Amino acid sequence: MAQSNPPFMTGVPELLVLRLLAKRDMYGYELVKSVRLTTGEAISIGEGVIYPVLHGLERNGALKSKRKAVDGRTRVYYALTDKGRKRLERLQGEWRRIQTGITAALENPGHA
Amino acid sequence: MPEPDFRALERRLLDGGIATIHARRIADELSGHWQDLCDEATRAGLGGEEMSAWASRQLGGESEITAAVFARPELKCWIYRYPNVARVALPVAYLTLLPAVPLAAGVHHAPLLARWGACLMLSALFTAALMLTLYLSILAA
Repeated sequence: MAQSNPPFMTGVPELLVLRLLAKRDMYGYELVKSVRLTTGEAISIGEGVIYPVLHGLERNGALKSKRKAVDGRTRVYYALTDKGRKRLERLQGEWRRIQTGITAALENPGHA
Repeated sequence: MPEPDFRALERRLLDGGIATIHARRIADELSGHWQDLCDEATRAGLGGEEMSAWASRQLGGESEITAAVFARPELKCWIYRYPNVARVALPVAYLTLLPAVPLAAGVHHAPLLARWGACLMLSALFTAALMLTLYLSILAA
């Protein structure tokens, strides 16, 4: 089983889910696999834990869901809304700011 | 290893105050996800017990999943999210509904109630007439 992520990763699954859904609609299993693939397995979301993230985002209006029958199975596909797109932009901005700060601290620890 | 009991997980979520729509759908989606994992395991050459055990491990334990759901208060039904509002609103709603429902039913079924009342009145008059006849016949005797 994939290694779980430490507590400072809070909010990262949400960012990744929004980012991936900005490209195309996906269902839970597909999303988990895409997160693994796009992050080179550096980040893995607990597979069952993706659903509370998706439902929470949907409840907040960032996502909308639609049932589709595919190969005899009913899948719940998630799509990004305009609100979700704005949230993604905000989260990306925050993440880049943190990333820049951490990179600077790692490269010049003496200046802290 | 059989499929995990997703209906038990759904009941646990409902008991914890998660809204029915989310509890049911999460259980359904987890069941579908588990099936997808089983298919993936089959493609990787696993089978039987090994396959379902791997799928269950990948999906995560029930306590891990329920903890993640309970960590999101927005998924709870409104009574759990706004308990103080519920404490005020529900008694007021019940107090309003208690007299309103029979009244509304009465208005809605007014012709039926009128017929029922008329029949009741006629039967009461008939019984009174019988009683009077009986009384008078006893007096005459």
